[in-house]
Amino acid sequence: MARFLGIRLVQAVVTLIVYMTVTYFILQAMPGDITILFTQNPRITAEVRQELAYRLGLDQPWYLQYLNYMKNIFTGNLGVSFSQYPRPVWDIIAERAPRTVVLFFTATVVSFYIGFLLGRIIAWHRGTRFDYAATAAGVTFWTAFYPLLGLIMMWLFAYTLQLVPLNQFITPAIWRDARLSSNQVFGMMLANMALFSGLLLVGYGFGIPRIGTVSGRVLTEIGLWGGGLLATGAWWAQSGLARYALDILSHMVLPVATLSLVSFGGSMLLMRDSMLETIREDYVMAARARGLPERTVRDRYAARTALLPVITSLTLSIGFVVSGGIVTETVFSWPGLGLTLLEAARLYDYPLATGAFAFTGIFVVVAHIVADILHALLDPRLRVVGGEVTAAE
Amino acid sequence: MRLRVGAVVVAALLALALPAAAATYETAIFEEPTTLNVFAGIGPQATVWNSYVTYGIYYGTLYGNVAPTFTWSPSLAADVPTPFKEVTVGGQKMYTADVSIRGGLRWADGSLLTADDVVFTYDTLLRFDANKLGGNWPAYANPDVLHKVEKLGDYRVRFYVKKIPGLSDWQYGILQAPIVQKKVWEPIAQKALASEDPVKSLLAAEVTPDAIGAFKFNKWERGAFFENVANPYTSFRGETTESFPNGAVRITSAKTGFKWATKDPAPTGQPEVTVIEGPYVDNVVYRIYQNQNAAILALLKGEVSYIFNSLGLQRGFEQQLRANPNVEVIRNNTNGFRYISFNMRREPFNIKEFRQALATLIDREFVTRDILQGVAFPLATVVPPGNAFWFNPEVKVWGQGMTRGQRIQAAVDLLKQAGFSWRKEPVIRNAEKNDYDPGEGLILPNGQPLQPFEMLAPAPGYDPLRATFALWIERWAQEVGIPLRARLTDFNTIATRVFDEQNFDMWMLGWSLSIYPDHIYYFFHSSQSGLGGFNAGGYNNPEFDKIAEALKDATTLDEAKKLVFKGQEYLADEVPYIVLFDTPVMEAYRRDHVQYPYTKVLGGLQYVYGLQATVKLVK
Repeated sequence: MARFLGIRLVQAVVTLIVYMTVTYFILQAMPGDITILFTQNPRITAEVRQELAYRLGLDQPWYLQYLNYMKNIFTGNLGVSFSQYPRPVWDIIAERAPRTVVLFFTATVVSFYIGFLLGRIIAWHRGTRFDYAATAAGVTFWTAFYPLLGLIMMWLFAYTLQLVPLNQFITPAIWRDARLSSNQVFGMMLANMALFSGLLLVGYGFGIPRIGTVSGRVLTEIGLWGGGLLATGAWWAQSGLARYALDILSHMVLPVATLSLVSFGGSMLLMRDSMLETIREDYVMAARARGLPERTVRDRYAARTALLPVITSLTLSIGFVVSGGIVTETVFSWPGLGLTLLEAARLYDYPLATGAFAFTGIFVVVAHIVADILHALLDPRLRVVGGEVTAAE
Repeated sequence: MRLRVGAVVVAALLALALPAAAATYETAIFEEPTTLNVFAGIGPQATVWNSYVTYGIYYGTLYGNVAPTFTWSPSLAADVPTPFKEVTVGGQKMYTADVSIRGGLRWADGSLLTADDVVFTYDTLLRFDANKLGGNWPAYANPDVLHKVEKLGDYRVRFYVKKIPGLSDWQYGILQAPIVQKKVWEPIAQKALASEDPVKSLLAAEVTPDAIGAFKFNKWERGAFFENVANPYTSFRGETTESFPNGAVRITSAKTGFKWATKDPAPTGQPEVTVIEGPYVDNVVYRIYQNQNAAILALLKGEVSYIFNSLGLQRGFEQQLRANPNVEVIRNNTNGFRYISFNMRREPFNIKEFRQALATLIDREFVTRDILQGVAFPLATVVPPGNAFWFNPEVKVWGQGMTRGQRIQAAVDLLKQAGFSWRKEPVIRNAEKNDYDPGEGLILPNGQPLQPFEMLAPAPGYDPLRATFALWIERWAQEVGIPLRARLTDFNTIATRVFDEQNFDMWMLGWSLSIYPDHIYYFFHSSQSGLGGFNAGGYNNPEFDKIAEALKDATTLDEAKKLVFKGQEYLADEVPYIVLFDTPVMEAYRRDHVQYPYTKVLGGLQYVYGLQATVKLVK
């Protein structure tokens, strides 16, 4: 396992260097630089533009700029933003990342959970009307033109029915006198999510499987969720920040629903295919032969193994959570890292763009490693052989 | 049903959280301000959003341009500056002018604005070097012109300049610098000067901004909204500004006893517009939306009363907005134009008749009226009609009122006059009835065939209007054998190739202009034709240079106006630019929420900061 991890880490670092290099040169390949934006103001002279180029280091040869950039990446200093000179890039990323992570993590988990549940059921009831309907719905939303869907959702649920807030991630009237910034509340929500996820992971990973009886397992599960939710509610209630968290949550409803609607189909079909393969396995047949209830065979035997590719896919998706989504952030006025990337590219803000890319890249690479480890841990048939994960014969 | 219950619960929770309602002017913006630091905001972070929300609202200037006529007038100053006097400083010949400052003006912390603040501002700009601060600062403290500012008394300062500046550098430059509060900025400036990189340190300073205007900073919830609150100490409250039909302006303040009026022209008759300064609202909230659809929905829903956008709203929203009885849609002229130009260092673009022929072939009215369906309006002068004081209505417009056949005939005549010929000359049988055969293969006066060349123009994704124009220009040029190919590409490619590399044949872009038309100098004077200069086409005409130089040095409005008119006539004949069109700025506001003192203004309400200090709430 240690050797496997070591090899994976080396691969990750090499991947990251290649990725950051490619990113850098793609950005540099754009015609002009940030000073070109000042050509639209006739009162900003060529001298002033040259001074700005010097100040931003744009007057240096490309290889020096590249070496400086790589040095910054590996020393954890992402430099200062060009478009918000001289604000540090880390400062901007730290401001935008929590919003992005809260929204996209929630949406990813929700859509995967829906996909998992539906995939499990339609595979079991393959060929039924429900299977066809769910598959058709999943594929329809999966292929929908997302910006338009977002606008329709907004128009229908926020503007016409007025069930949810129209846009943005907070209501100004509520936050005007807030003693905390929304970012701090986002941070607390992230911490809350992490704790809750950790609790569930421990519960499902080590606690519940060791309980012998079905009723015991169900009770433990209820206790786990109930206790977690109660503790969360109690903490927010006593902190006096519940209204702010609720405000953010109410603004999250529409983007999360839209994102989930679009992406649940992917995980549902993945789960369905995986289940269809699994239910033909001998051990599933053996479980049936032992006279176990259909639901037990489905959920405890078939679904658990079928879940592996879904877990891998979820882990990788969570890696991408930090990159946000330009369309989602634009449509729902939820400025996060996706929009930051777009703006940075538009404004030739190389440090900010590459900083955001680096941040995303690191997360994705880590997610890949985690996915590999999880896969190796979850599937007892897998063993590390010569640094490769292969099926044992 | 369950969804409804959930929504009711959420709504109830939100309602519990809401504080008592204030008189709020709710607005929408599409980009977040980036800084509260005025030096960064006007410098390297110069964006229109920063000006709408921060420094355009907080700071005052000694002199300003009073909307809606944009007449130059005192603002923090008590009167016009004294005429320049020649003096000797350290053996150097210099010129001085004195400016009196209004008494009784207070900063947001209650302290008085004095000469110390004014001196400190200019001294800081000179010490840090406006060119290094970047952005718009060099226009406010050009170190080639400004030497220093000296305190003569608590409310009087003396400017020392190295040469007598023209209107561009003086009235519309140095005298319009935002004045900052010494008390706030002095410790920051001192700390910055002691640092390794003083400019970077000054620009990086985090500060709660000082303010002397109608509003002061209150809260910035990054990514979501920004809020300014009424400045309790604003001394402009109740100040009346009257604008007269003859261009005169009269300013009176019962509160401070301040009175001022233009002398030439003097106010006569009834004022056309009377504006009484507020603010009439407790606060202004700027909600940050990332797209126009969201902001339009918010306006229709009543969440915001006005949408800031320097480009105006997209035409596609007009019908939707007009359908709502509570929404008022307004249109205003803009101070800008879209144009094509040439690399006049190359043949045939250096031949005046070639440029005139191309100008003659372009039917602006046809494209704007029939193809673009009135989204844009035709424009033919380098000073738009919207900038009425400076616009010369007598300027020649090539091809005006001609049929297609007549245009081709006129273009052929011009080209022949310059010695061009054709492999197959266009045949015009009846110009009036457009009965003609197109030509092919234009031959240069030196007998060589004109090789195909490209006109860089914005792609439809960036500007569909210009892309459309480019394709029609290509078609019309080819009808007379001019092998012009429109190459539709992105703005950055065009700007880089034109301004930084000067590697092009023709290009199409646009300009937004300032009220004082000194762009005539920057765009066409030969000194500006080097790499990075604004005269990228390399127009070089010693006679015109004299006009442009005289304009740059002009010290009176009358003198400047004559030169601007002359310059326009000259450029219309020489055609270094073919001005094509512009678009009106379309805006919308909630008439059931707010009331503005006027809505007819060059550049639209956004150009006057959404009239935050004079808007009144209806409910």
